[in-house]
Amino acid sequence: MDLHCLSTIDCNQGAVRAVRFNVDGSYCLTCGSDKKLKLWNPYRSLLLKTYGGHGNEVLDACGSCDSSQIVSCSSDKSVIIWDVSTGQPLRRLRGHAATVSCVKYNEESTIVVSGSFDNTVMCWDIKSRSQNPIQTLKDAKDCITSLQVTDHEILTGSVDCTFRRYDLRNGSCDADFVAAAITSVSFSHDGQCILVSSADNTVRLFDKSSGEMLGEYVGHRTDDINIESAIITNDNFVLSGSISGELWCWDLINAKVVNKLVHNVGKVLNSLSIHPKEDVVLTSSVGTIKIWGQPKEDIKIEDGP
Amino acid sequence: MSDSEEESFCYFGKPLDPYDEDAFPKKKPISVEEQIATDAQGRRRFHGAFTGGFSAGFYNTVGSLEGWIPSEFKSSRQEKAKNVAQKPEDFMDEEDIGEHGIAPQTVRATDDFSTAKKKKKTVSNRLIKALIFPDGPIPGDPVLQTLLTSGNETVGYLLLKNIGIQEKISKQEEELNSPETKIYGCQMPTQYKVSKNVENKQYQIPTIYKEFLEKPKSNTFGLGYEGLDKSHINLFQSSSLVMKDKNNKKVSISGQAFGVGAFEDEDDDIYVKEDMSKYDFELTKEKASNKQQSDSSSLLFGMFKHSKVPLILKKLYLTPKIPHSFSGKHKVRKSRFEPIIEESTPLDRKEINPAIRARYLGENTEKTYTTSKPIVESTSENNEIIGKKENEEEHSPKKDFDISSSFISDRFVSASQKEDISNILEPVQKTEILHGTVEMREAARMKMFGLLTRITTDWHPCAILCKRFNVPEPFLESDHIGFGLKKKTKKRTKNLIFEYQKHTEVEGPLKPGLSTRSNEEDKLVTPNMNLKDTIDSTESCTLTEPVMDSQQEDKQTNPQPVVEVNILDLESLPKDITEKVNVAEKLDLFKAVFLSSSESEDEEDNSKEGNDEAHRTEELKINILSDHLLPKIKPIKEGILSNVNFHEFFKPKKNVEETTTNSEDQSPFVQSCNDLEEAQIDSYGPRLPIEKMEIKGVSKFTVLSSNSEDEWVEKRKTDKRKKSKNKRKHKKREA
Repeated sequence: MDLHCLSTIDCNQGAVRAVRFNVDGSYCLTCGSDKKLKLWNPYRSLLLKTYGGHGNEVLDACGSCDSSQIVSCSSDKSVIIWDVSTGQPLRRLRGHAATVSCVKYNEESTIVVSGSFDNTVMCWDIKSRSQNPIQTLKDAKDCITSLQVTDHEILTGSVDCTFRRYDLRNGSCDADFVAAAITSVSFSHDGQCILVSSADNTVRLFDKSSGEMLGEYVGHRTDDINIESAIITNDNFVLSGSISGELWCWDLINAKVVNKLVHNVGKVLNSLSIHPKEDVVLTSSVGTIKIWGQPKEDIKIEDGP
Repeated sequence: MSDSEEESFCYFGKPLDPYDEDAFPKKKPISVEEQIATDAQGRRRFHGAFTGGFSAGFYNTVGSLEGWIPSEFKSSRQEKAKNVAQKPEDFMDEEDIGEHGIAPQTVRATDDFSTAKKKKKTVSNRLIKALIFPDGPIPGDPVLQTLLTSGNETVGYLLLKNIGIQEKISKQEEELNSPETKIYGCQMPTQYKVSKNVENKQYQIPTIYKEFLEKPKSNTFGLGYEGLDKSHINLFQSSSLVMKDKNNKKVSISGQAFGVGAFEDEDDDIYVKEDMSKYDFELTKEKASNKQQSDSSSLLFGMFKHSKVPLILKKLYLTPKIPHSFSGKHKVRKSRFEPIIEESTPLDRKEINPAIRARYLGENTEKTYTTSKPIVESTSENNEIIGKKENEEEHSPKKDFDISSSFISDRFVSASQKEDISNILEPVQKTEILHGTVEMREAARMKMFGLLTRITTDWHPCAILCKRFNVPEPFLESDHIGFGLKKKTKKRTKNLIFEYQKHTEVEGPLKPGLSTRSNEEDKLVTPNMNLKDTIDSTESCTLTEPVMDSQQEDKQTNPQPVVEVNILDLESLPKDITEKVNVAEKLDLFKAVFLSSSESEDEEDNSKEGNDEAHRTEELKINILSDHLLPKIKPIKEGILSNVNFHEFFKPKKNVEETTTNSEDQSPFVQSCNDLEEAQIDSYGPRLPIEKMEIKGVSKFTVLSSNSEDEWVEKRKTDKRKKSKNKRKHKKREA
């Protein structure tokens, strides 16, 4: 575990609510509290485009599989699909009754799944012109805080202390109860485990099929703040943000703290994003984002698309 | 005349040659009448008739000597007539365009070179232009131009400058504005002397303005214009020009109606008669001049008089007093004899509070209502009111907004606390909602995640979602999306081999080897039989139709042995109740794949366990339910597996035939086993006692033979779906 800060970008868009890699990890999106969404080349600290049109803070975003579209969600209860090159909103999906907190594309970017504080998860068909969601999942008893979509699953984390995995193949829903409000859910890269961080300052690793706990990672503090966690690309380390502005790294197997990378002392490190192929991590804290990775790989990355 | 006075004049034009008195005049001086202005052709330019006249045409006629020639219309192939827009110049003579003409054309700098135009343009504009077009060897303003630019003073400015009025004015202004004039504020230093002539100095308005200040222009005519004087009335004789107005009013006109020739003096007013006022009757000095002198001292600014008439004070009238009873609305005075009109003004909806509403509805409610109460408090009583109101007001088109039926109902949670209206500022107490059951929480606390904390439910993703995710729909037979009961059932059987495989994967780990698989197959069958009571209605529905068909058939032929065979089969197997119900659908698959092996196994099994059969069948008897609940055992599928099926089917048939031909001395068990396999594919029916099984013998062949053939035909009948048909065809082709 050897991550170094490659660069720091001051996004200049208020607090950065979320930072996300695109599908191949060559660009990243930052969601600002100033209602703007920004597209960056994080390796060169280059601002590529700004997307304005939301009526309130942008809370989450996701790039499509062909990088031609971006979907973002906001406190203005709407989900917007953007054209990357023109910067114009293609569609505005209004169906949620409250702040939309998380949004994801499916594998082929034909469906947008959005989770909201109105306790629902909505699935929108991007290929049709319909303004209504094709399906609404109303199982959660409290706000949806986090969302993941794979080729056949939808994973949601909710404040009702439960994370739910909807399996489209089997037509089943596994609701696993965790004692505290869930702030972040994510899959391991082999797709067999689920990493769940909750408001009781704990990150837990669950087995997907049985729901048994495989590991518990503690030491950091998150309190009530919505802080994200993830498993790094090689599935060896667990990463989580913290209230103290450090990026905590645990060994996945023995659950020991390996490293603590300081982003912004005293300020909350709320969002992080893992590069889809390499061991590169993006973190965001207040108004800045940082990219962490191996310095020697610089050339390799920069030569990327 | 002093020199200074001469200096104040300015000269225009060339001075005349000094007049030599000694020299004789060479020529007779031209009389005024003969001094005529001519144009370039020597024609007389001005004519005496009117002021302002000038020559036109040919000696003041139109066109030429021959007269005016209208332009001809000419159009030929070579020269096509053009639609020419006429310009004023077409009607002008040359001299009109000349220097002294009415439209003089002079050589002027074009827009590009005229400095006047450039001046008008804003500086910024010029700068931009210079920046954008830094043409030429020297950037910026052309040097030559800057050298050649003249002072762009207007003619008016030059005239006034020549008069010297500016200097005069500036001089006076200087004097006025000199610091000696007026000083306010601090006390003067003692050594400072105030010049004495300061007080006397008064601003002298230039005389050229005085005329206009004294006689302000009241009309819109040009300066100095005097039109016809309508007001002049001759006292002694009416003028020759008398007109009658519209209102029969006499209007006499005098004065100059037309212009006077340029060379003639203006005539005396020949129409004017003597007026006595023109005469002086006293032999005194000219009063006017004296008056003026005396007045000048009292003039303000040399021209304003003090008015002698005091200003008339405007009379102010008080506003009328409005009687206090006045409301501004018109009231029809009521007559005593008019019938009293009942006031039936409908109450405003907003004004009706629940109490009034209750009164209208004839409801007795002691409870006092407040407008804003939490929904928690208004419980049954309110609901009753609403219910009654709805009943009574059914005729009203407005429908009450029913929260419970609206789609957003599940987004709201009823308040757990009462709201205290009297104290709004009181902070709302935090309510802690405990999610999950007690057991779950306990398990989570103990870190025993897994079975205890997991709730697995069926979830029905909608068709489009599955399509977009490239996943087959998990619940094909159900239309209902989401959780809950499967309301509608569809006979949609997808002939996908992989689907069945998937389900088996879910149900349990596969064991290698064919024998075990067959065993598993049996396992899957057994619950179906045993759990008939528990089979939910939907499942039974899906099965009813095909089963009925098969049953009918069975009954027609010989139902009894078939049933028996099934029972036999079941007996030999361990019971497993935990499996899923939809196994029945997969039966044919298993059958198709594993039939031969299972047959052989069963044969052995049956022969071994023949003794136990009797009492086991008895057990099962109890379990077996009514006919319609029996699952189908028809092969649902065709296509890929059909080949296999046929292949398998043929073999046992041969066997059976052999056995039958070999006569009945073979053990009935063996035969029954053979039958069993066939019958299993086919159908179920009421069970027969064991004794009868031995008898069945030959009769079975018909069943079997009919089985394979008839079944396929029937299957096609049941498969009405186009989709499945297509698929089948496709598969057949593949096969």
